Parts: sequence; C-alpha cells; structure tokens
Amino acid sequence: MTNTFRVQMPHKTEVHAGVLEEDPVLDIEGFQLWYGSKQALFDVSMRIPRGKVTALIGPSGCGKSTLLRSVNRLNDLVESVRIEGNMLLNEDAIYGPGVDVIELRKRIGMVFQKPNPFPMSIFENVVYSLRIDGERDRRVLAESCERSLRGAGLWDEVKSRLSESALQLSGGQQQRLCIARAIAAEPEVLLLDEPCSALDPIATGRIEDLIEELKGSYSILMVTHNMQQASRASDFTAFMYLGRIVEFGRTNDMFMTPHLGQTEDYVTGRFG
Amino acid sequence: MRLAEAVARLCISIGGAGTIAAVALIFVFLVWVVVPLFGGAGHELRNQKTVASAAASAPPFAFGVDEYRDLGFVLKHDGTLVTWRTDDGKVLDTRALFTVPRLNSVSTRSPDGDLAFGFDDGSVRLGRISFHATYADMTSRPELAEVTADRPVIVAGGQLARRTQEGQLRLTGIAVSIDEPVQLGLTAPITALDVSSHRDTTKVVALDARGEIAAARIETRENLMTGEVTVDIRSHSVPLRPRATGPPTRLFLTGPGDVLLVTWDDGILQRHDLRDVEAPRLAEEFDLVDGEGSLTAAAFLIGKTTLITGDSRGRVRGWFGTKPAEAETPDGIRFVRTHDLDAEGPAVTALASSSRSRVVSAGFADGSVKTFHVTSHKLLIDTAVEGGEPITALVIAPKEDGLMAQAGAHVAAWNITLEHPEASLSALFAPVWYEGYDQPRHVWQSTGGTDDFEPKLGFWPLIFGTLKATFYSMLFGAPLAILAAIFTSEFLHKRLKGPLKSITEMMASLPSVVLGFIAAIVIAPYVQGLVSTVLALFFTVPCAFLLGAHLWQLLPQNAYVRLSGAPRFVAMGACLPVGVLAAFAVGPFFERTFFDGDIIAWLAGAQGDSVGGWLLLLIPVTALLYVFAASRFVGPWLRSMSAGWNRPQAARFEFARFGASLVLVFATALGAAHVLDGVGFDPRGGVFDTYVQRNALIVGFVMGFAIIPIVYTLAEDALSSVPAHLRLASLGAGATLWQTAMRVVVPTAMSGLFSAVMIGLGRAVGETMIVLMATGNTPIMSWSVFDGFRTLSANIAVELPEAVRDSTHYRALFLAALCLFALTFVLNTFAELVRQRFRKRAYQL
Repeated sequence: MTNTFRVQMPHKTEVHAGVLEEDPVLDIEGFQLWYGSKQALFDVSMRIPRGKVTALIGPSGCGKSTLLRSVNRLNDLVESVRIEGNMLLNEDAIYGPGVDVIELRKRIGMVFQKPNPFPMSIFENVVYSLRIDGERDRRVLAESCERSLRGAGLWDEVKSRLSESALQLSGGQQQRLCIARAIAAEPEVLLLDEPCSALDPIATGRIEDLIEELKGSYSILMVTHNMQQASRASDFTAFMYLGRIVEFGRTNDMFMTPHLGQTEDYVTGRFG
Repeated sequence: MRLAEAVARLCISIGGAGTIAAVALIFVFLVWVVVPLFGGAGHELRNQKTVASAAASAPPFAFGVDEYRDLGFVLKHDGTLVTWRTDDGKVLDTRALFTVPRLNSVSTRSPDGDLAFGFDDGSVRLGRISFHATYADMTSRPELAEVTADRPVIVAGGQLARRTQEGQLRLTGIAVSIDEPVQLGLTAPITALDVSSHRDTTKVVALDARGEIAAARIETRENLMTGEVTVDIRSHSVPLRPRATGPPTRLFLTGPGDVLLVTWDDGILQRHDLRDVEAPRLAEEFDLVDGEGSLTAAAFLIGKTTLITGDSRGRVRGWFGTKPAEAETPDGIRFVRTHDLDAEGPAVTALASSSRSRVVSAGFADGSVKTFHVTSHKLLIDTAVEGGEPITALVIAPKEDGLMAQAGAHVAAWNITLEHPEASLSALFAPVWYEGYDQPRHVWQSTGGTDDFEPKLGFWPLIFGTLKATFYSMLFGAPLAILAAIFTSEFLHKRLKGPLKSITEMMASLPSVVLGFIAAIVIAPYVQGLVSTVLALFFTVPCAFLLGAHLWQLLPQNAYVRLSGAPRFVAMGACLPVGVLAAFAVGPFFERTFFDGDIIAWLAGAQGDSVGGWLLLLIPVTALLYVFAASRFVGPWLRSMSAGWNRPQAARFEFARFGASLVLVFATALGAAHVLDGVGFDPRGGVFDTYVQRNALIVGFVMGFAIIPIVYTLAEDALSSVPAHLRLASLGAGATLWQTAMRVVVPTAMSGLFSAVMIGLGRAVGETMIVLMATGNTPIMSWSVFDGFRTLSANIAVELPEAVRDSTHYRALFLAALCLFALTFVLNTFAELVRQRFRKRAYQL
C-alpha cells in the first residue's frame, strides 16, 4: 500500500545538517538554466566540499550532466542557453561579464562519459593542458606526465609505450588516461560525468579505486547512474530530480536515512 | 513486392556493373588507339630477282623505283639507263643517255627526280629522271584488251600497263629530260656535284678531278611578253683548304643552297659558307669518323639539312648545323653529331633517305639492310638480301611502302609498313635532338607550315603545363579552401554555417567556360594593368588581418568579452577591404621604388636591378623563418618573462612585437635581396619572366576559384565528422577554439583534409576550359608565374579537331588523354584510399 510513488514536486532542497559546515570549493547559488524556452535547472544551490567526492544521482534527464557542464561553462557552446544565478570557484565568479572562460576552464578538470583520448600519443594526451599553455620544456612535460599517470594508476601499464597511440589502450585504460589528462593541469575541481558508464565491471572497479585514491588531493564532483557506485565511492551525495536538487547530504545518511520519501524511493530502486 | 525487390536489385547490379564496364571500356579504347604508336615496323621480302643488265660492281649513278613499285631503274656508269619490271625482273627499256662526253658523276636524286650530271669535259647538265603514270580506258587501245583479271600486267609500247583494283588501267613509264650543257669554268672531269633549287634560282656545285670546286648560281627568267627564256649563270671558284690526302670525293649542298659540305674519303669534312656565292669562305673543318676507318657513304635527309654518314666501320651517324652560343666558327654555326644510329659492324656501302619523312636506310657490306627513323633513333627494319653480297644501291619507295636494294646482279624488293616511325617511348618522353636545335629538348610542336616540317611530340611540356596549372591553382585555392573549411566548421556560428556552405557549394555549379571567359577577357587585362597592386595584395591582406587581430587584443577586457560575437565577425570582415586598399597604396610605391616604375618592363629584363624581385620572393620566406624562429627560441623566453603580466600589458607588448617583426622581416629580406643582387643572381628567367597577359597567375586565381568549392565541401565534411567529444575534451581542458582546431580537430581530420586536397588536385589536373581560355596555350617549360603554358587537356581540345584520324598526331593526342586519365585516376584512387583509412579511424574514435 505504500507502493505508490511519492512524486510531488519539492520546492526547496533538503540539505542535511553538517554539509554547510564543510569548506566549499565550489559554491552554486540559485543557478537556473534554460535551453531556449525550456528550463533545465531550477534554482540549484549547493556547496561542493573541498577535498571530498560528491556524487550527483538522479534519473535520466534530471539535469545532472547539465549542472556539471555548467560548472566549466561547456554549456556556452550550446545554442540559445540562458542562465541565471552564479557559481563561485574558490570565491571567483564563474559567470560574469569579465570572466575569461579559457582561464576558468584551465582550473577545472573534466572527464566524460565515454573515454575520449585524442588521436595522438599517450604522452601528448597527458600533457595536452600544458601544451596549450605553451609549455615546451621537455623535462617539465615528462615530470608532469609521470606524476599524472601515477596519479591515475596507469603509469606502470604504459610507461614503456608513452609514444604509442592512445587509441590502442583498452576502454578502462583510456578512461584512466583521461583522468590523468584532467589532473595534469592540477585542477581545483574535477568533474566526472558518469566516468564508468561505458566500462566493464573490472575497469569500473579500478576507476572507483582510483577515485578513492584521488580523494583528499582533489575535490571531485561526479555524476553517476549507479547507486552502488555513489554509495561506495562518494563522501556526499546529492539527489537531483527534474532539474532540482532534492536532497543533499553525506552519502551514508542519504542511503541509510534519507529525509525525503522521494529520495528513499530512488535510492532503494523503487523508481528511477 | 518480392518481384519489385528482385527487379530493383537487378537494375542496381546492371547499373553498377555498367558504370565500371563503361570506365573500363574508355580505358581499353584509349589503350587500343595508343598501342599502335609503339608497334614496330613490318617488312617482308617481296622478291629477289636477277637483273643482269643492271648489274654493277660499283654503286650506280642513280637508282630508283616508281610510286607504285612496278618499275625500277638504274643509271649505270657508262651512261645507260636500264628500266625493269620489279615483279619478274625483265628489262623493259634500255637507253644510252649520254655517250660523248662521257658521264662522270651524278648528284643525289631529289624527291621529284631532279638531277645534275657531270661530264669528263668539265661540263654540267641539269635534268630529271622520273616516272610518269597515266590512266587509260581499257578499250582505248587494242593491245590493252589483253589485260584481264588473270593477267593484270602487260607491257605495251615501252610502258607497263597494270589493271588497278578499281578496274582502271594504269600505264607507267620512265621519262627523261636533260637540259643543255652548262660550263662552270672547270675543265677536268667532274667527279662530284650537287644541286639545290629555290624558286627560280638553282645553285650548282661541282668538283673536278684536280680538286677544283666551282659554285654557280643559275637564274632562269622567262620574259612574260615574248616567252623568251634567259638563263643567267654566274660561276665562282670555291677555295678549299688544301689537304695532303688529295682531292675530296663528295659534295653536298644544303636545301637553301647556302652551305657546301665537302668530304674526303678519310672522313674529313670542310664546311663552306655559300650564302654569298661570290665570296665563299671556309667555316669549319672536322672529322666525321673520329680518325677510325673511312667515309663510305653519305646522304642528305629530306630537307637537305641533316647529313647522314656511313663509314667503313659500320657506323651510321647524323649531323646538322646548330647555333650554340659559344660557336667559334665565322658564321656562328657548328656542325655537330646529333644521331648515332648504328654501332660498329660491317662497312656501310649504301645510304638512302626517304622522300617523305626522316627515315633512312643503310646497306652494309654483308648484304644486310637496316632502316632507321633518324630523330627517334628507332630501328625500324633489320633484314638482308639473300646471298650476302654487298649492297651497292638502295632506295626507299616514294610512298614508304617498299624498299629496294641492289647487290651485284640481284635486286631485292621488300614490302614495308612504317607505322608511326617517329614515335617511341624515348621520343615522346625523353629530350629529343630535333633538327636545328642546339641540344636535345622537350618540344611539343605538332604541326608546321612546310612539307619537310617534322612534328615534335615531346610530352613533357604538356605534362609540365598540367603540373604547373595544378601547382599554382592549388597554391592559391587549397589554403583558402582549407582555412575556410576550418573557419566554418570550428568558429562560425552554427546558424551561419548552413547558408555559407550552400553558397560555397553553389560556386561549383559555375560552368568552367564562364570562369575561363571571365579570366581571359576581364581578369587578365585588369591584372596586367595592376600587377604591382595584385602582388602587393598577397602581403597586405594577411598583414591587415594580423594587425586587426593585434588591435583587437588591445581592447579592454570587458569590451573584449562583450564584443566577441557578431561585432568581432564584422571587424574581421572589415580587414579585407583595408588590406585591399593598402595594396593600392603599397603596390605602386614598391613599383616606383624597386622596379623603376614599371614592373612589366622590369620583368622583361629591360630595367632595374634584381633587388625588387628578390624582395618579393624573400619576404614570405623570411616571414616563415621568423615565425619559426620566434616560436622556437624567443617564445619560451618570452613566456617566462611575461608570466606575471596582465592582459593589457601582454597585448601591448604583442602589438609592439608585431610591428617590430614586420620591420625586421622586411629589413632582413631587403638585406638578403641586396646581397643576392650583389652576388649577381637574378630571379628573372626563373620564377619571374617576361609578363604574358594570360599567365599562370590568372589561372591560379580562376582555377583556384573553381577548385575551392569541392575542396571546401570535402574538407568541411572531414572536419565536421571529427567527434564532438574530442572537441569537448579539448575545450574542457581550457584550450581555445583555435588551439582545439589546430591541435585536435585538424590532426584528427588530416586524412580527410588530405583527400579533399587530392580530389581538388584531380579536378585541377583535368580542368580544360579555364586553362584553354586563360593561358596562352604555349607549350613551354617555364616555372614563371607570368608565363603561359599548355596542359594535356587543353592540348587535346585544341588539336584533336585538326588531327588526321589514325595519324601519329592523332594517336599521340589519345596518349595525352591516356596520361590524363591515368593521372586523375591515380590521384582519385589515392584520395579514396586515404579517405577509406580515415573513415576507419574515425569509426574507432
């Protein structure tokens, strides 16, 4: 009899106690976004804690990826996008008349759903962000490459073939390469957009372990479809639905004792 | 439903197979027409008869065969003329032409039978021995009724009557006419003489037994009122340079009669300049046999310019006069050996040249006979008389369909077919030493005004022209098309992209004849009036865009971000007219400063030093070097220095650097130009040459315009098919659009871009109308931007209508078509292969 879905529209984000005390790396304030006349994000406000992994969960089309892409302004490339509100990256406005998008993006790393290494060598893939900054010093590049590949847990597998094409790597390796590429720029926040959705379970496991390792050194905002992954890998979880953040709290609390029935329905798999 | 599917499938298969078959068929047809070009000549021995009364141990004075190869004649040393039937060897007619004074020498017979006879009293007579053929009705004379289908040949009244395939009766006989004796001031027996006629003037040279040579001009004038003929003879002695070996043995007078060649048996030739008969002078003396053996035979080729010599060591060689710059002879001409036709072997005993082409036959002491095409050095026929007696006389039938050789008392006759003797792979594609040229050259000159003109079918000027047209149009069109494609695919607002692409593709529908017409009638004259401005455009337009970009950087941050949409686009568009206007100011200024005020006169070499030309060439080179050096060496240093600067500072610095680099590039180029000018190099004659109104620059513009649409479309497709997630990855990493385009999109789409360029190349190679109309169609090999050229395709269009079917020229044009077909086929196949690879790779991403 309690099987009926509780799908009433929430109006305000249910934020768990303690989340607001965390030091935010990214502060989203009343962010709204329209694709043409269709509103995709409604009054999103959340603070992403520094040095932690924050998972964004929610059913397909709820705006998770849109929110993620709004952080590094990749949505600017889409026709007729209009926004309201703002985000602050370490207290610097992301949206605003004088913001240099290129400089901003250099401070934010992003890993996409599908592994997308460039059709060039493994080495050049990793040091791409340094290259576009004009770095030519071979030593600096090599150091950065090794550090990033080690960081992404890929160094031992590829150190002997750095000059080979990145396209020869397996899917899981390619995704870790993309992570290495993202962390080579030493970003202030790392955005992961369903990083495991195109991978097999073993590769997924490795990526999750990697996320675990990166925690602490990097602040991570991760979109995922996979409840187990969110519960395993993240410190905080936000549940999104229809363009709104419904509930935001520590992952444990979100999965064990969600405040809202809607969240409970979703995390227990009763709807989604 | 099932039936419809089956029918559709059948139609599609037939269509597909039909297309492939049609292309293959065209290829097969081209090959089928071209192949005979390289086929050898054919020959078969027709008969070998004994003609006892014509037998002679020494070469006879004259030896000939008629046009239909029914009759042969020989003029023996005793002055008797023997005519015989070639089919059975029976003598038809014997007449004693000269008894007293005794005939002592005869000149070489000209194609129409003209001869000069020298006698032992020192007198000379001109005359002619020829065949005449008449056609008669079978019923006109009673004895002709004997001719039947079974017995087609009879002898009637000293003539040979032959029933032709058309059922007519052809009567062939020999005709002799001899003029009155002429005294040239020689009294000893004439041992050699030659004659050349030009209009009413005949030049005769004669050599007597004492070694004296007389040259005479005989002018025949006919009084139109009275019909009285006056003959005016002026004879002069030609002083030889004395030689210890005795008197010379042979005389040759060239076609126009202005050069006398005198040879001794030991191979020495003295060439005398006879342009002024009253004052002959020795021009040069040289050895025809390299001191080995002796000269045994010599004959002129058709046109009487090239001398063919044969010696006792079996070498057959061709010689003619050239005009090299360094000739030390008094008349500036030097005779050189231009053809080595046969290597050593049995001695050459007889030479005969064809009366219709540059074909020569040589008879040897072992009875072998070889026939060559002189220009192409092609050995056409290699045969021998039965019995192996030395060949004493040789003749090529007037229609080049037969060959007749006398060896002792035997006369052998061959049927020969000489198909395209002048064509061979080396004659078509390697440099060929044509008569009158001072070295072997690639020449295309398929038709000429005179009968003895030799078609010159060197393909390289055409292939060169094709490549030149392709090069210059790709140089202009490919970068524009590729950059335009990058711009539309990577930078342009999506809403503008669609219309712009359609408009560019519409450019492709412009008929090329319209483009060619505009190029020839509008652009070419316009550019000729504004050469300096047009050249300046190549510098001012890029500079205007660079300047605009640097100025844009100077905008305050807020304005920069705010104006980055449409206003920037408009400002960018404004750079073009600014660049053009600047060219109108800069061009004439440069023309005044470096080209003495007239660049066309400068190009013609009339004025000025070479600094301006070098400057034009060196500015792009130094600019590229500068960009390379700056990014390589100055860049890292600058980067570390400017790390702490803010935006306006960096922008101001960059602006200053741009200005400084412009000055630097110009100064470096100017300095280098002065150095090169000082050293003495001059670009004129190479990259620059005399300005021709319709030139490669015009073709570059217009054909570039013609290939832009196709290259643009394919390149844009290639760039657009680069997966969006790669772009996002790059942009997400903080790359600018330009960095994303240059580092990720273009390298990923490289093979697609490459194949787009190759397709454009294929189009440029085959393009006809533009090059036909906008170049002068001059088949010359010059890289100069300001020279015309002729492409394979334009050449076919120009010449095929006037080529005689199945002639060498006709087949050569088909070979041009085959070359073109092969060229475009290879280019397109290559492009397609690259594209396939690219598709596969794109699929992986």
